Amino acid sequence: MFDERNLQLFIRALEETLFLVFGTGLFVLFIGLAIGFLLFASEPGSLFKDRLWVKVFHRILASINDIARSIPFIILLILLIPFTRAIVGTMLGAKAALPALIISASPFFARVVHMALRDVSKDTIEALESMGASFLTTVKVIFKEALSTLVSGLTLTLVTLVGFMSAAAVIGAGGLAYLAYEYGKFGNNYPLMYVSIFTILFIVFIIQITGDFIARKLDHRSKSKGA
Amino acid sequence: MIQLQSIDKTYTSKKTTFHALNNINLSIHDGEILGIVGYSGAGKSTLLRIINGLILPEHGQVIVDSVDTNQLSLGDMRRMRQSMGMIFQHFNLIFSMTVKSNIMLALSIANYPKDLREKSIFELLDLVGLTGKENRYPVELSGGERQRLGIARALSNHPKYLLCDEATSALDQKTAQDIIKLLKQIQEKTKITIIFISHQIEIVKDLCTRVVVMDQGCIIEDQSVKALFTHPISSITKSLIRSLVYEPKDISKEIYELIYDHKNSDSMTLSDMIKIYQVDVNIMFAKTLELKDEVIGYLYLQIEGANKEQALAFLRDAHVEVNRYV
Repeated sequence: MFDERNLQLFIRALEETLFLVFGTGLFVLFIGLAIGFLLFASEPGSLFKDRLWVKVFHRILASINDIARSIPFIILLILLIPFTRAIVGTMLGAKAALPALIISASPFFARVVHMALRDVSKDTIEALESMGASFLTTVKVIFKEALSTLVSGLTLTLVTLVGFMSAAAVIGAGGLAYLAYEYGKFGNNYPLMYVSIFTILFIVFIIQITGDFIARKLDHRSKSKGA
Repeated sequence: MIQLQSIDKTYTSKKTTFHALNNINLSIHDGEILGIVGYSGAGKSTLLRIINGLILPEHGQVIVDSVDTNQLSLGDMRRMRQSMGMIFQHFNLIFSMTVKSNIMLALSIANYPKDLREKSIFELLDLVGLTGKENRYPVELSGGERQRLGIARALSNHPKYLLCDEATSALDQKTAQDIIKLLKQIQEKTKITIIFISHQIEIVKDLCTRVVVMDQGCIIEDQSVKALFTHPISSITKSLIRSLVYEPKDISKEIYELIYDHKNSDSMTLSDMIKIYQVDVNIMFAKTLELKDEVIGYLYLQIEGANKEQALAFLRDAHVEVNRYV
C-alpha cells in the first residue's frame, strides 16, 4: 500500500508542514515580540511614562490582541477567506493557511512575551536605572533576563501552531494533517494516515525537546540544574 | 556635597494621599558616612531615591555638587547617576549574567575606557573578596557574596557617592557585619561619601559618623552617632536604642539610666555617690555598645534613699548622662 507515489505525497506534505511551522513561526516570532514588548512597556509603572495616551494605547492594543486571540482558529480561517483570496490568490495549499495561522498565533505569542517580560524583576530594572543605563541598554538586559522564559513560550507557540495547522487541513491547506485526513479517512489508505500522524507527533516531540533543552541552558535563576 | 532643600513627596491613589516626605532639609558633606534610620514607612527609601533622581520630588531642590538636579536633562541625569553607586536590600543583580558580566555591564553603561575594563574588573573583585568567582552566576553565590558583587558593581565607575538601601537587612548578622567591615575599609581607602539607610540601628552604629532619624516623612533627629547614643532626643530614637540595649520587664519600679563614655568610665563616680549620699543601689542591667570610634556604657539602676535627688545631681556633675528610664 505504501508505494513510490505515497512516498512522494508524504515528502511533499512533510515539506509543506515544515514550511508552515517554521515560516509562520518566523512571522509570529517577530510580530509577537513587537506586540508583547509594547504591551509590557506601556503598562503602568513600566518603561514608558505614565501618560494618558500611553494608557489609551495599552488598552487598545491589549483589546485588539485579546479579541484576535479569542476567536476560535477554525472560525478565523473561514472569516479570513476573502482576505486570503485577495492577498495569496488562492484558498488551497500551504500558503493559503499562512494569514490565518499568523493572525491566530501572533497574539498568543504576544501574551506569552508580555508575561515573560513582566516576570523580569522590577528590582533589576531599578538597578539599571540607578546605574544610568540608556533605554536601549535597559531593554536589552530585560530581554536577556527573560530569554529562557521566551524560549519556553516560543516552544509552546510552535506546538500550538502544529495543532492549528491540523485544523487548517480541513479547508485543504495541505501538509501532513491534510494527507492523513484526505488519504487516510477518505482513501482508506491507513498506512499513509498512520505515518503522517506519527510524523506530526514526532515533529511536536522534537520541538518540545529542543525548546526545553535550550530554555534550561539559558535559565540561571535556580540552582537545581547541577551546572 | 549633596543638599536637599524643602523636599516634599506625596503618593496619591484614588482614595488616599500618603505624605512620604515632608519638608526635608538635609546637607550631606563629602567623606561623611551618614546613616538614615527609622521604622518601615518612615520615608527612608524614598529619600534615598530622591537623591539619585529615581523618584522625583514634588517640591524642593536636590543639589549635587552645586548642580540643581531638577534642571538636568534625562541624559545629564543618567550621567549624574553614573557618579553615584547604589546597592540594594535584595542585591538586584542581573541573573542571566556572570559575576564578570554584571560588572562589565556597569562599566559599559558608564562608558569606561574599553582597554581598562578587564583590569578594573579584577581590581574590583579583589577589593570585595570575590577573586576567582568571576565566571559564576549570581544564583551560585551566597547572600553575602551577592552583596559583595553589588558593591563591586556600584563602585565600578569610581563614584563619589554610595547609596545603600537596607544593604544588610536580608543578611544574617555575621554576614551583615562582614559587609559593614568591607564598606568601612572601602571608605577609609577611597573617602567615598556613604549614605546608609537601615531600620537596624545596631548596624548604623558600627558604620556611620552621623545619623538622621526619620518618622512619618520627617527628619526628627540629626546628630553625630555618639550624641545620638548618649543624648537621644526623640521618643523614636529612644525606643530604637532601647530595643538594642535594654527593655525593662517590670515598669512599676523606678529605674534610672546612666550613660557613660570614655570621659567618665574610668572614675569611681557611682561608688563615690553611694558613699557620700548614703543611697541604696540595685543594678538592673548593664551593657556596653561599640560605636564606630568609641564605646558607650549603659547602666540601669534602682536608687533608694533620702538623698536620691542630690545623688543624681552628683552624677550629672560628673558628666554622666542620667535619665529617668521608667
